[in-house]
Amino acid sequence: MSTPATPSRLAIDMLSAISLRDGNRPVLRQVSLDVGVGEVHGLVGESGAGKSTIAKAILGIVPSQVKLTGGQIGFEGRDLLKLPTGELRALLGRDIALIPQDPSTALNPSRRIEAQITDGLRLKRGMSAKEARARAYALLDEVQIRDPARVLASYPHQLSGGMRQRVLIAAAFGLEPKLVIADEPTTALDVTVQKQILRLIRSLQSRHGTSVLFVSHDLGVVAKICDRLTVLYMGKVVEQGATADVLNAPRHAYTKALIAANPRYDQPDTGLEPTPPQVIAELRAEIASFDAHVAQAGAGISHG
Amino acid sequence: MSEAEAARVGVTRADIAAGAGPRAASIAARLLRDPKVVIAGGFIVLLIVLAIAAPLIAPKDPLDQNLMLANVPPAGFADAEPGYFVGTDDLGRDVLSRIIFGTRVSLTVAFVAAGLACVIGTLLGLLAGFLGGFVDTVISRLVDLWMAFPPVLLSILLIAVIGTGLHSVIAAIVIIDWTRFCRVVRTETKSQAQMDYVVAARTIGFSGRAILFREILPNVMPVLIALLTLEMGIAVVVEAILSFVGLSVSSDTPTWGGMIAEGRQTVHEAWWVLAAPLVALFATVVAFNQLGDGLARSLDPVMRR
Repeated sequence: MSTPATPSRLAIDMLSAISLRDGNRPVLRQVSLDVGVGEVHGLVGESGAGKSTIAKAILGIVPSQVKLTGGQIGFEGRDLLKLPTGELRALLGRDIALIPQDPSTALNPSRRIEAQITDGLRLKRGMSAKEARARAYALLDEVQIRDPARVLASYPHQLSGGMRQRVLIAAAFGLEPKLVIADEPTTALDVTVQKQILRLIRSLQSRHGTSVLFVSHDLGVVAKICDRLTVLYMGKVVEQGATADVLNAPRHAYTKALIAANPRYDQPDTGLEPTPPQVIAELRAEIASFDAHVAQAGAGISHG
Repeated sequence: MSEAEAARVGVTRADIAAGAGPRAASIAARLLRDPKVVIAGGFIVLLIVLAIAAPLIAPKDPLDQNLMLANVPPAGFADAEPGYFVGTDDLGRDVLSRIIFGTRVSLTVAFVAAGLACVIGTLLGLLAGFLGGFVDTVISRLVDLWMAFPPVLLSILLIAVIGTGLHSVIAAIVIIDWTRFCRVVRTETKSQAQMDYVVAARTIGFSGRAILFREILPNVMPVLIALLTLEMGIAVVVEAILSFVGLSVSSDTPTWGGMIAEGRQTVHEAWWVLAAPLVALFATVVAFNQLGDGLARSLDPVMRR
């Protein structure tokens, strides 16, 4: 599809997956996307569109009921799907890190923040306990936590949601990864906090030249932070391109509908429109014909 | 003091402030604020002191017979003898001294047997809950099978085979009661393993072992500690039962269970011989249970506020 302006860091190619629990229903339909070096790439779609499955596939934590049936996840020239467990484990945290969705459950409730940040530093960067502690302090400072010493000594339940998300962001960027997967990092937060967190991710990302795959269902959030975006529907790429282009001149009716569904503060009477049924019907027909096409191709191969 | 030294001390203080110092101190402070922990824990500590220093504390030799002073009632009753606070049994042995010496067997069994059962059951439970699949099936079936045997019968049978004695009592309790730990820990591990923080740990490339022991075990700990203290109470009772039927240590070592058995025969002439070990047993079991309850609450960082 569209070619990235910068050299590609993550190149997902024709990734397909099915749900074993749900009658082998396709979850991903030949998804391809590129994330360039230093690019923030938005992955947008409604729930069940397959956004999280892509994120999990990259991190090697696809749930057992989902089976990847084809495609590649290229990271710096290597296919993550073919990497042995040991090598993938070495890569995770060091080169690829995750900012999880829900800061209230992503931190271990019975361990102090300090232990949870220094774990990765010691394991992945081979720091001593003392170095790791100093680094953790600096990291919390970098994510604009006012009293790092107090936060380091705290348990997760003693911190606010925004604070916890900052800690998770600090932990993710702290290992200086090349790629950060942000899985709906602001969904569980207040709108006011959302803005700060987005700004924080953006500034850390640009300072360190990190590539970010930003998974979200919220076009408003994606518009603020992403350079380019990919719109998914039922596991199929509907539209892809530079954020401004996609949002200003959407080519696909579904993208238009998504944009229309976003509330506009400047025009309170518009927005909040549900996706028109004919758009959904069109999309489903498109996907059905795609599935038929794939099935035919598969049958053709097996017969030939 | 040189500046460099001062700086070094400063760093050390900061380290303490941010690290291990307040952790230990605040946990201790929190435990001391819980009346359950203080009262029950204080009682257990008292028992431990009694067990260790029994020869120094006990007013008489627990085995010393004096038929001239048989069945002397406790202090405060008519015919009480000075120096025998809880009276004597039908052989004229001092009941209080026997209770004090009896704590030795009871506490040894409580700590060693419950501890071993805890370690074995916890390891198997962690493995079953975390690995799932085949390992889980094998361990879970084994536990089901194990629990189908009536425990007291099984322990009596076991001791009949391996012989009486303190080691046998401990072995019997461990062999029977590891399943308690295994079951609870397995369930708890399974539910913790679903949590996001475990997934997050996986995504920074932690090994399974690191996740199990660093991430999951601390969250299983509160439940485990409650269970462990509960099991200590159970172990004390089981030992008393086995002593009662004469399958524990030989009769020249005073035990609460043995005293209950002896007291039962003379209950009409000397009720205190039966009552004293019963009270000791009851108080000990209640103390262990309450301590477990209080510890679980104080140690769980989510429950404490």
